[in-house]
Amino acid sequence: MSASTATNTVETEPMLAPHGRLGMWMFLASEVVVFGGLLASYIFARLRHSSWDEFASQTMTSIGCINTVLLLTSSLFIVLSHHWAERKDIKKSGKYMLWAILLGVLFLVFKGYEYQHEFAKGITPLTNLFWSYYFFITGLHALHIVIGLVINALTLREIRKGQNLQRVEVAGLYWHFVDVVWIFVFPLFYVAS
Amino acid sequence: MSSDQVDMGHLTPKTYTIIWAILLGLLFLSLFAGMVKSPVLATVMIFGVAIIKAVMVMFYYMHLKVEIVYVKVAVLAGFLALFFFVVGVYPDVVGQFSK
Repeated sequence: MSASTATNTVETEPMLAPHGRLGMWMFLASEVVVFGGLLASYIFARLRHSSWDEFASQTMTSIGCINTVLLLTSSLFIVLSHHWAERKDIKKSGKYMLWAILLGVLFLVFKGYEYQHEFAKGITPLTNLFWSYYFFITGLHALHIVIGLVINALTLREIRKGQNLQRVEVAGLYWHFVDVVWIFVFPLFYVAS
Repeated sequence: MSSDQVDMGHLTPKTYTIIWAILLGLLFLSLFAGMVKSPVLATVMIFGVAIIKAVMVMFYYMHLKVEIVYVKVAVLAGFLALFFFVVGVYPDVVGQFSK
Protein backbone atom coordinates (compact mmCIF):
# COMPACT_ATOMS: atom_id res chain seq x y z
CA MET A 1 0.00 0.00 0.00
CA SER A 2 1.47 3.36 -0.95
CA ALA A 3 1.84 6.19 1.54
CA SER A 4 -0.83 8.30 -0.16
CA THR A 5 -3.34 5.44 -0.07
CA ALA A 6 -2.68 4.89 3.63
CA THR A 7 -3.23 8.60 4.33
CA ASN A 8 -6.50 8.58 2.42
CA THR A 9 -7.66 5.57 4.40
CA VAL A 10 -7.16 7.46 7.65
CA GLU A 11 -8.81 10.64 6.39
CA THR A 12 -11.96 8.87 5.28
CA GLU A 13 -12.29 6.77 8.45
CA PRO A 14 -15.82 7.68 9.63
CA MET A 15 -15.16 6.82 13.30
CA LEU A 16 -12.48 9.48 13.78
CA ALA A 17 -13.10 12.89 15.32
CA PRO A 18 -10.78 15.88 15.08
CA HIS A 19 -8.03 15.59 17.67
CA GLY A 20 -8.96 18.88 19.31
CA ARG A 21 -12.57 17.90 19.90
CA LEU A 22 -11.74 14.36 21.00
CA GLY A 23 -9.01 15.68 23.32
CA MET A 24 -11.38 18.18 24.88
CA TRP A 25 -13.98 15.47 25.50
CA MET A 26 -11.32 13.28 27.15
CA PHE A 27 -10.32 16.21 29.36
CA LEU A 28 -13.95 16.93 30.26
CA ALA A 29 -14.50 13.26 31.15
CA SER A 30 -11.68 13.60 33.69
CA GLU A 31 -13.22 16.83 34.97
CA VAL A 32 -16.47 14.93 35.61
CA VAL A 33 -14.55 12.89 38.18
CA VAL A 34 -12.98 16.00 39.76
CA PHE A 35 -16.17 18.02 40.19
CA GLY A 36 -18.40 14.95 40.63
CA GLY A 37 -16.13 13.68 43.41
CA LEU A 38 -16.16 17.05 45.16
CA LEU A 39 -19.93 17.41 44.92
CA ALA A 40 -20.52 13.81 46.05
CA SER A 41 -18.22 14.41 49.01
CA TYR A 42 -20.18 17.57 49.87
CA ILE A 43 -23.53 15.72 49.61
CA PHE A 44 -22.29 12.94 51.93
CA ALA A 45 -21.01 15.51 54.43
CA ARG A 46 -24.24 17.48 54.28
CA LEU A 47 -26.30 14.34 54.95
CA ARG A 48 -24.37 13.99 58.19
CA HIS A 49 -24.83 17.62 59.26
CA SER A 50 -28.44 18.76 59.35
CA SER A 51 -27.26 22.08 60.80
CA TRP A 52 -25.79 22.94 57.38
CA ASP A 53 -29.29 23.85 56.17
CA GLU A 54 -28.96 27.02 58.23
CA PHE A 55 -25.60 27.89 56.61
CA ALA A 56 -26.97 27.14 53.14
CA SER A 57 -29.83 29.56 53.79
CA GLN A 58 -27.21 32.32 54.23
CA THR A 59 -25.95 32.05 50.64
CA MET A 60 -27.30 34.69 48.25
CA THR A 61 -29.91 32.81 46.19
CA SER A 62 -30.74 35.89 44.10
CA ILE A 63 -27.10 36.26 42.98
CA GLY A 64 -26.86 32.51 42.34
CA CYS A 65 -30.02 32.74 40.22
CA ILE A 66 -28.70 35.72 38.23
CA ASN A 67 -25.41 33.89 37.66
CA THR A 68 -27.30 30.82 36.41
CA VAL A 69 -29.17 32.98 33.88
CA LEU A 70 -25.87 34.59 32.83
CA LEU A 71 -24.15 31.23 32.26
CA LEU A 72 -27.10 29.67 30.43
CA THR A 73 -27.32 32.73 28.16
CA SER A 74 -23.56 32.68 27.67
CA SER A 75 -23.81 29.02 26.62
CA LEU A 76 -26.50 29.99 24.09
CA PHE A 77 -24.20 32.66 22.63
CA ILE A 78 -21.26 30.24 22.39
CA VAL A 79 -23.32 27.64 20.54
CA LEU A 80 -24.57 30.37 18.20
CA SER A 81 -20.97 31.49 17.66
CA HIS A 82 -20.11 27.89 16.75
CA HIS A 83 -23.15 27.68 14.45
CA TRP A 84 -22.06 30.76 12.48
CA ALA A 85 -18.37 29.80 12.53
CA GLU A 86 -19.26 26.59 10.72
CA ARG A 87 -20.97 28.70 8.09
CA LYS A 88 -17.89 30.95 7.84
CA ASP A 89 -19.88 33.99 8.98
CA ILE A 90 -17.03 35.59 10.91
CA LYS A 91 -18.97 38.72 11.85
CA LYS A 92 -21.86 36.90 13.56
CA SER A 93 -19.58 34.29 15.09
CA GLY A 94 -17.34 37.00 16.57
CA LYS A 95 -20.34 38.99 17.85
CA TYR A 96 -21.79 36.02 19.74
CA MET A 97 -18.39 35.03 21.12
CA LEU A 98 -17.89 38.56 22.42
CA TRP A 99 -21.30 38.49 24.16
CA ALA A 100 -20.45 35.11 25.70
CA ILE A 101 -17.22 36.57 27.07
CA LEU A 102 -18.98 39.65 28.47
CA LEU A 103 -21.56 37.51 30.28
CA GLY A 104 -18.74 35.37 31.69
CA VAL A 105 -17.04 38.49 33.03
CA LEU A 106 -20.36 39.62 34.52
CA PHE A 107 -20.66 36.22 36.24
CA LEU A 108 -17.30 36.84 37.93
CA VAL A 109 -18.35 40.35 38.96
CA PHE A 110 -21.45 38.97 40.70
CA LYS A 111 -19.40 36.17 42.25
CA GLY A 112 -16.90 38.71 43.55
CA TYR A 113 -19.74 40.79 45.02
CA GLU A 114 -21.10 37.68 46.71
CA TYR A 115 -17.71 36.77 48.22
CA GLN A 116 -17.21 40.36 49.37
CA HIS A 117 -20.64 40.29 51.04
CA GLU A 118 -19.76 37.05 52.84
CA PHE A 119 -16.34 38.27 53.96
CA ALA A 120 -18.02 41.42 55.32
CA LYS A 121 -20.22 39.17 57.49
CA GLY A 122 -17.09 37.48 58.81
CA ILE A 123 -17.64 34.31 56.79
CA THR A 124 -14.40 32.81 55.43
CA PRO A 125 -13.31 29.36 54.20
CA LEU A 126 -12.08 28.69 57.75
CA THR A 127 -15.42 29.47 59.43
CA ASN A 128 -16.59 25.84 59.30
CA LEU A 129 -16.66 22.80 56.99
CA PHE A 130 -19.74 23.98 55.09
CA TRP A 131 -18.09 27.27 54.13
CA SER A 132 -14.85 25.43 53.29
CA TYR A 133 -16.81 23.33 50.79
CA TYR A 134 -18.66 26.40 49.52
CA PHE A 135 -15.56 28.51 48.90
CA PHE A 136 -13.51 25.63 47.50
CA ILE A 137 -16.13 24.35 45.05
CA THR A 138 -17.39 27.76 43.90
CA GLY A 139 -13.79 29.06 43.81
CA LEU A 140 -12.63 26.12 41.67
CA HIS A 141 -15.61 26.73 39.40
CA ALA A 142 -14.74 30.45 39.18
CA LEU A 143 -11.16 29.47 38.28
CA HIS A 144 -12.57 27.38 35.42
CA ILE A 145 -14.57 30.42 34.33
CA VAL A 146 -11.40 32.52 34.24
CA ILE A 147 -9.60 29.86 32.18
CA GLY A 148 -12.64 29.64 29.87
CA LEU A 149 -12.63 33.40 29.39
CA VAL A 150 -8.95 33.32 28.37
CA ILE A 151 -9.66 30.48 25.91
CA ASN A 152 -12.69 32.33 24.53
CA ALA A 153 -10.73 35.57 24.15
CA LEU A 154 -7.99 33.75 22.22
CA THR A 155 -10.66 32.07 20.09
CA LEU A 156 -12.30 35.45 19.41
CA ARG A 157 -8.97 36.72 18.11
CA GLU A 158 -8.80 33.73 15.74
CA ILE A 159 -12.39 34.34 14.61
CA ARG A 160 -11.59 37.97 13.79
CA LYS A 161 -8.60 36.80 11.74
CA GLY A 162 -10.86 34.25 10.04
CA GLN A 163 -8.49 31.46 11.07
CA ASN A 164 -8.89 28.16 12.93
CA LEU A 165 -12.67 28.47 13.16
CA GLN A 166 -12.87 24.82 14.29
CA ARG A 167 -11.52 26.03 17.65
CA VAL A 168 -14.84 27.72 18.37
CA GLU A 169 -16.41 24.30 18.88
CA VAL A 170 -13.62 23.14 21.21
CA ALA A 171 -13.76 26.36 23.25
CA GLY A 172 -17.55 26.00 23.36
CA LEU A 173 -17.35 22.45 24.71
CA TYR A 174 -15.27 23.66 27.66
CA TRP A 175 -17.62 26.59 28.29
CA HIS A 176 -20.72 24.39 28.21
CA PHE A 177 -19.08 22.02 30.69
CA VAL A 178 -18.48 24.90 33.10
CA ASP A 179 -22.18 25.68 32.69
CA VAL A 180 -23.13 22.04 33.44
CA VAL A 181 -21.04 22.13 36.64
CA TRP A 182 -22.84 25.30 37.77
CA ILE A 183 -26.19 23.63 37.08
CA PHE A 184 -25.35 21.25 39.95
CA VAL A 185 -23.52 23.75 42.18
CA PHE A 186 -26.49 26.13 42.16
CA PRO A 187 -29.11 23.79 43.72
CA LEU A 188 -26.60 22.28 46.16
CA PHE A 189 -25.51 25.57 47.70
CA TYR A 190 -28.30 28.03 46.91
CA VAL A 191 -31.65 26.23 46.59
CA ALA A 192 -31.53 23.14 48.81
CA SER A 193 -31.58 25.06 52.07
CA MET B 1 -19.97 20.85 6.02
CA SER B 2 -16.48 19.43 6.31
CA SER B 3 -15.94 15.80 7.29
CA ASP B 4 -14.51 16.70 10.73
CA GLN B 5 -17.66 18.39 11.96
CA VAL B 6 -20.56 16.87 13.82
CA ASP B 7 -23.73 16.69 11.73
CA MET B 8 -26.03 18.86 13.83
CA GLY B 9 -28.98 18.03 11.58
CA HIS B 10 -32.02 20.06 12.46
CA LEU B 11 -30.35 22.26 15.12
CA THR B 12 -30.77 25.89 14.12
CA PRO B 13 -30.41 29.18 16.03
CA LYS B 14 -34.17 29.01 16.65
CA THR B 15 -33.84 25.52 18.19
CA TYR B 16 -30.96 26.66 20.40
CA THR B 17 -33.00 29.63 21.58
CA ILE B 18 -36.01 27.41 22.38
CA ILE B 19 -33.73 25.11 24.41
CA TRP B 20 -32.37 28.18 26.26
CA ALA B 21 -35.94 29.27 27.08
CA ILE B 22 -36.73 25.76 28.38
CA LEU B 23 -33.56 25.83 30.52
CA LEU B 24 -34.62 29.16 32.03
CA GLY B 25 -38.10 27.72 32.69
CA LEU B 26 -36.50 24.76 34.46
CA LEU B 27 -34.38 27.15 36.54
CA PHE B 28 -37.51 28.83 37.88
CA LEU B 29 -39.09 25.41 38.44
CA SER B 30 -36.12 24.46 40.64
CA LEU B 31 -36.55 27.71 42.61
CA PHE B 32 -40.21 26.82 43.10
CA ALA B 33 -39.17 23.30 44.18
CA GLY B 34 -37.00 24.88 46.88
CA MET B 35 -40.18 26.24 48.47
CA VAL B 36 -41.97 22.87 48.60
CA LYS B 37 -42.61 21.90 52.23
CA SER B 38 -41.79 18.20 51.87
CA PRO B 39 -37.95 17.87 52.02
CA VAL B 40 -37.94 14.58 50.12
CA LEU B 41 -40.16 15.90 47.30
CA ALA B 42 -38.19 19.17 47.16
CA THR B 43 -34.85 17.31 46.92
CA VAL B 44 -36.13 14.97 44.21
CA MET B 45 -37.55 17.91 42.22
CA ILE B 46 -34.45 20.11 42.60
CA PHE B 47 -31.98 17.43 41.54
CA GLY B 48 -34.32 15.96 38.93
CA VAL B 49 -34.53 19.37 37.29
CA ALA B 50 -30.74 19.83 37.54
CA ILE B 51 -30.15 16.48 35.81
CA ILE B 52 -32.63 17.33 33.03
CA LYS B 53 -30.93 20.72 32.51
CA ALA B 54 -27.44 19.15 32.40
CA VAL B 55 -28.57 16.48 29.91
CA MET B 56 -30.17 19.15 27.69
CA VAL B 57 -26.96 21.22 27.64
CA MET B 58 -24.83 18.15 26.91
CA PHE B 59 -27.14 16.72 24.24
CA TYR B 60 -28.06 19.91 22.38
CA TYR B 61 -25.38 22.54 23.07
CA MET B 62 -22.44 20.11 23.30
CA HIS B 63 -24.01 17.95 20.56
CA LEU B 64 -23.36 14.75 22.51
CA LYS B 65 -26.56 13.34 21.03
CA VAL B 66 -24.99 13.22 17.58
CA GLU B 67 -21.34 12.65 18.59
CA ILE B 68 -19.31 9.65 17.45
CA VAL B 69 -19.28 6.56 19.65
CA TYR B 70 -15.70 7.15 20.91
CA VAL B 71 -16.74 10.44 22.51
CA LYS B 72 -19.82 8.86 24.11
CA VAL B 73 -17.61 6.08 25.52
CA ALA B 74 -15.14 8.66 26.93
CA VAL B 75 -17.94 10.55 28.66
CA LEU B 76 -19.50 7.33 29.93
CA ALA B 77 -16.10 6.27 31.32
CA GLY B 78 -15.93 9.53 33.29
CA PHE B 79 -19.36 8.98 34.80
CA LEU B 80 -18.59 5.31 35.52
CA ALA B 81 -15.39 6.29 37.34
CA LEU B 82 -17.42 8.74 39.40
CA PHE B 83 -20.08 6.10 40.07
CA PHE B 84 -17.48 3.60 41.34
CA PHE B 85 -15.92 6.31 43.50
CA VAL B 86 -19.27 7.07 45.11
CA VAL B 87 -20.14 3.39 45.57
CA GLY B 88 -16.65 2.77 46.95
CA VAL B 89 -16.87 5.38 49.68
CA TYR B 90 -20.56 4.86 50.48
CA PRO B 91 -19.94 2.04 53.03
CA ASP B 92 -17.63 4.37 54.97
CA VAL B 93 -20.29 7.07 54.97
CA VAL B 94 -22.94 4.64 56.21
CA GLY B 95 -20.46 3.44 58.85
CA GLN B 96 -20.01 7.01 60.09
CA PHE B 97 -23.78 7.39 60.34
CA SER B 98 -24.15 4.28 62.46
CA LYS B 99 -21.52 5.43 65.02
